[in-house]
Amino acid sequence: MTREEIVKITNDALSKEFELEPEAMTPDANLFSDLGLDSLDAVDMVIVLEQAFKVKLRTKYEVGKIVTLNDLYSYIESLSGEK
Amino acid sequence: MIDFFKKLYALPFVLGAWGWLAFSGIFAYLYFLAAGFKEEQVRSFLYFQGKVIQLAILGASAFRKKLIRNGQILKPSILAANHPCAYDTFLFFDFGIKNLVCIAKGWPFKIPIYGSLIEKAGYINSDNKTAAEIVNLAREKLKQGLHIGIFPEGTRSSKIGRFRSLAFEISLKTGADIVPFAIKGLDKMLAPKAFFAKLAAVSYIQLAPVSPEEFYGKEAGALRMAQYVKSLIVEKL
Repeated sequence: MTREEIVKITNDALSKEFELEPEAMTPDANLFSDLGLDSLDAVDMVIVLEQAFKVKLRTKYEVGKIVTLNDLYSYIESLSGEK
Repeated sequence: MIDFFKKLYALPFVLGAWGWLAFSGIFAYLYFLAAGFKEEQVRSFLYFQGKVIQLAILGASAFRKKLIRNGQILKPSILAANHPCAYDTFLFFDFGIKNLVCIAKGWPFKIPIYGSLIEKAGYINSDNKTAAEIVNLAREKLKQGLHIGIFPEGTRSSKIGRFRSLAFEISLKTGADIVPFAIKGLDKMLAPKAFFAKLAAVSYIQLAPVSPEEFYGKEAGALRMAQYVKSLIVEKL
């Protein structure tokens, strides 16, 4: 899966489930301070992305380390490379 | 021009409401300072204060305020409403709900007098608390037989925003029903960030309770429940 595909699937899933404005979803956007997600959202975000990418995110990484959308794309990219 | 007259009409009611909030608050605060702050008594005072504010809203709407009930809320529940206006806080009192505490961000607790009163009434300040801590506090309140009032959008907005998961996480963790309320027209009376209210019709609509049972075991259950309850409220707006 290419980086562009990962970005698109991630952004589509997050904007649909968390009603985020697509224009706010820049790679450097902080998930919490810029996009307004909270700790509960982070838990749901993992589930939503697992469903979108059909991979397990929970067991492989400390999700708390993901701060920006870019971190998230890179993490998913690293997982898709492992597949 | 019409807007000006609508504002002029509402002005005495708004001034009356703010005056009432300030003076009744100061009087009650001094009374409780002398007599001691007892949670239940402070809640009774906030209920009475809120009922009077609802009278002012009734006046400012030129008696075009509708209250649509949907049965009595028999067990301690989480009352969730959309949040178009600063007056929303007083919504639940219009339904005769007295045994209530709300979950709110830190800023209402910083309002002089009012902030102290809501704190003494047992309202939950969500700032600097984890979701787990808030769930535990809410669980205690529900066990005491209190309803929990919450505005899941968090911030006032005339266009309904995303419902955050906290209220629904509490529901799933405690088994308490969510009772949705739709507030219609109050943002026309006092738009977010506006200073002057104006004449506008208002409706408060109570919806049927939503049980957490159908969301147990679902992936992202709180998120799904939030989306479902929001859709019920949006239908009524």
